[in-house]
Amino acid sequence: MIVSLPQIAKLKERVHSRHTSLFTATLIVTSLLLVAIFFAAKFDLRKGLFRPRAAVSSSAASMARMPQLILWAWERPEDLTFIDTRTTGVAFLAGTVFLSEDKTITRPRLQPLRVPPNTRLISVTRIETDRRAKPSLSVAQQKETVRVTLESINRPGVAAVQIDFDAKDSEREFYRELLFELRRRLPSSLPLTITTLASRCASDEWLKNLPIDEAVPMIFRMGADAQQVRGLLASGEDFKSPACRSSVGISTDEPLPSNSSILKNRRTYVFNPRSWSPEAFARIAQEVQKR
Amino acid sequence: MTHKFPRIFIAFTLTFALLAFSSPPAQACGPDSLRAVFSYSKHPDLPLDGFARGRLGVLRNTYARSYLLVAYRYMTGAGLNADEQRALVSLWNERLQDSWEREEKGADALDLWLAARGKVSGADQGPQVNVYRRKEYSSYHNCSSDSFAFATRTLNERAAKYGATDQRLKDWVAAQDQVFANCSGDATIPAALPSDADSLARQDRNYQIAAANFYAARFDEAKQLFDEIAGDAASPYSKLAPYLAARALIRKASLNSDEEGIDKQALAQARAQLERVLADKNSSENHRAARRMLNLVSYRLDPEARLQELSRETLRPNSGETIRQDVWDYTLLLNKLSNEDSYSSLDERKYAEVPKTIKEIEVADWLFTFQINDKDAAAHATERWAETRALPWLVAALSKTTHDDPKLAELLAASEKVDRASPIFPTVVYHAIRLLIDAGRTDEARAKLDRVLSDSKQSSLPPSAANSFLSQRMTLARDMREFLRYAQRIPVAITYDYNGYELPEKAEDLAKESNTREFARARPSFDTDAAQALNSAMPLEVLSQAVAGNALPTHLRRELALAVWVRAALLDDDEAGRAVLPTLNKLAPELREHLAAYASADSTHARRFAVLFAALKNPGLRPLVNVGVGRLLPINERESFRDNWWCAFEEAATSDDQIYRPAAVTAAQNRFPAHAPLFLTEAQRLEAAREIASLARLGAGPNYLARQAALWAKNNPNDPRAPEALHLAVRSTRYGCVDKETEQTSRAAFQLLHSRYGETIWAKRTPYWFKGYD
Repeated sequence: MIVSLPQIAKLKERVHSRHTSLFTATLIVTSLLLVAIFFAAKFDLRKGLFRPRAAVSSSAASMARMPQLILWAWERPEDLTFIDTRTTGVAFLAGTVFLSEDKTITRPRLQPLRVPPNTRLISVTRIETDRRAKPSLSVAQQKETVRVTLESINRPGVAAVQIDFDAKDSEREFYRELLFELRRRLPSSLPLTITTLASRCASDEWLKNLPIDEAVPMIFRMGADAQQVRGLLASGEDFKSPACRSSVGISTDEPLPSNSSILKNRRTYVFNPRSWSPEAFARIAQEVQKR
Repeated sequence: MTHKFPRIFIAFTLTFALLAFSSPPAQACGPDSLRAVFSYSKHPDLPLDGFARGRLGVLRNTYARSYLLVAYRYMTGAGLNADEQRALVSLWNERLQDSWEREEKGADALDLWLAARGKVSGADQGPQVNVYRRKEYSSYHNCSSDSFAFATRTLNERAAKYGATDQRLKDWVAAQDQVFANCSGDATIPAALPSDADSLARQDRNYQIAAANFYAARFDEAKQLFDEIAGDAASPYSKLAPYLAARALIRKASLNSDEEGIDKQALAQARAQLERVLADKNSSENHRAARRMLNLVSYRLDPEARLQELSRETLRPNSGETIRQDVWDYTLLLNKLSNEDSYSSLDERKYAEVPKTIKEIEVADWLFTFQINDKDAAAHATERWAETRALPWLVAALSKTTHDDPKLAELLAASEKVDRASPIFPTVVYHAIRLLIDAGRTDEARAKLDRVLSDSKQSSLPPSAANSFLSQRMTLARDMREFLRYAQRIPVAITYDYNGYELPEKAEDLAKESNTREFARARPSFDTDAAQALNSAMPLEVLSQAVAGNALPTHLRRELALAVWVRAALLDDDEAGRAVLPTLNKLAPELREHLAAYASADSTHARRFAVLFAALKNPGLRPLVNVGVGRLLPINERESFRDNWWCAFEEAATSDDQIYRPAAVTAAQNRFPAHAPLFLTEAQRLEAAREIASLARLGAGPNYLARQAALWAKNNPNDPRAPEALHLAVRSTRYGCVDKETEQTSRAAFQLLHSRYGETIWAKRTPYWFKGYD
């Protein structure tokens, strides 16, 4: 991972003079940008550009009210009536969208979910892309995915939306536009979150400027990146991307990163590779609390 | 709704498929990676027709239970006739399909309906149909593909009767649109036709009204309306209606299930209704579907009794095509009763936790015993074999026992009696050989293996089984040439394994990409056992000899030669390094410059630096051979997921400890003792252990490269390669395998580069150093 330049005197001097000229240039560019933004807003240009920004701030307040422990309820029968809704929320897989060539195939959740009244729910839409027949990633596919996601929020208790999409590099532009469109069409107070590979949080610029309230770094099933991410966390460093710093995703069947003090006080999403039971919940709740 | 019974059968199947397989196996997140499979673990070799015909190969406990059940049938003499083979291959192929492929098939029937509907004169595009109906937080598959197929057929029949422009046809289409609107939306019930309307149109409409109620989840109304239709002898739906009334009750029971359990009252009513259908001789065309629904009701009402019944049915010889659904239901029922789902790991299962209901049924008990990898399962298998002397229990006992088992001699003697023509013979002999190897009876094991491998040329052993035997034979190699002969194997699949089913990529798809093209045709690679033996158990001297020989194909020889060259440099073994130069000059022309620098170097240090400089510029160079498909990149390209250079070697506790194990894993996988290649002399084993220990002390590749680059620059400050080497070394600590030492080595190389060569382009290109981790 990248660390700061060492304190070498010679370099410092050079850097300082470069900083001075950089500062002037930045000031000019920023001023010009501010003027441009002011006029754009004044003449109501590209409304869409502004809506998400307003929405993010409104939804961020809602996000802050979400419980600190969230159980992922995946595609299997889940009876979560034992949770304490004051401390625990549920992110349930509401539907899956499969993109293949020009086709968009959608499947809603098929397994039952039971939660206590007043549970704060996050409806999760998972996006999968065909690895054999590459999707066209068309506007029509984007629209259908947005439609399915919007449909998923019309359920009691849904307080946020989450998109679960392990987008490849070539799929990111589609994903980015999808998130902007979704943000534009979601109620402004409804938070929009995404899951992400933890390694992307460690090094990726892509997460910058997305209209999201939270990117949940999944520190499980990390494959080749596991060592890197666990090492990063153990060294006390935080994820580079600010969007990744408010939450973390873990699994009950993988150990928590050692010395993960950095993850304290973050909203914790927990995946269980089988249906939740009160015992499994108690175990993980205790472990998260200890951490 | 439909009265095409095979379609109902399919619907039933699909419903179960959706319930049971709505999510694919747990997938790891992370980058896509291509891998070579040398022996399938989830299913037998593809195509599955061979297995269905009794070409069982080496049976693995990780196979799904439907395959093991078929093996059990072959072991008990029931086998499968041609119809049964077809039926089961169809079941397996459907289960191996991606869940999305099944989804698409359902969508096809809907598309056909919409296309047929569009041909009716004046019909618009029609409303959008969503086949799922929501119930609280989840949904259920409300309108199956056969619903649309039946509607399409009825439409075509009415169009032929009335003509495409007839108002009655248009009215029928409009009403059918309303019927399908109920698949997902609020109740929309077509209006009844007046009593003076055309009688067929009225009967159609009454049916549509009942169907609309059914899809709208108004099951009591639907049941009543189907009962009324059943009472109208003139209706073309009268024979079908009683069956559909039962379905309304079943659907009601399913959807009304709550924490108290299923709605047994509705199911009991459904059972009575279905029994009436079966008792009606005039409704024989409905019997098959009714029987299946009755099975479903039994499954729900009394799963344990149904388990007993299916245990008999699935083993019944000549059961015809009913075996498909029976095996489907049986395996799902076993999952349900054992509380397993697609996420359950075989390693977590314990025989003691298998429910009594399952243990009490011989075949079910065998399935679980064979699958579970614990001591209780092994003891039970041996005990059952001692009691019954039955072939399935012999196979289970052989597959689980260890060479120090007091019953070993008895089991091996029993294995000798298994007919060579028996479908289970490869499994029996595989485990007998495994036990002989473990017991140190290597000559006997080798003789058996050579016979199997020789026979296999005639008997066309499945490729997975052949690779399993080659793995065993490799462990018994008498010299390096023999070792290499059995170390190279052709993978059964090259796969990204997106859905976890080990399905091979198509050769034409592999051929499209430059980095996978070479895997489009079958070519040998090293499996894990072979690579581990080469990488961790052999001294340089032996590896160099292997390069010099011609036992390996060109691509594997090149890979081994590169590994030897790098390893020789790490170990300062000039002789071994020089020995592979002629081969590398021929097989690695892209390294010509580096090879020349090596050849002209005048000291061991200079030769070492020549190799390490080559490694710094070629992230694919490493003192190891790769497993399977390897890195998929030319050696001079950097891999995005840090598969560059090498990680720290782990020192083995002894020369024999955990060096390598046969790759063909089985139930007894974890109890395989590790073996060093038998042909190695004691001195060679000790030398290999010494070399591995030396390599282990060098740490992770990037750390070593950074240290060596710094050392070279200090001792040879005017070497023009020095600043570039430092730059590349710092970069390697970003893109390679790192650890807690990296911080220090990366920083040291960085500081040396900036302090001594600060004005060079290499320093300018190195703005950061990189930190490792614990």
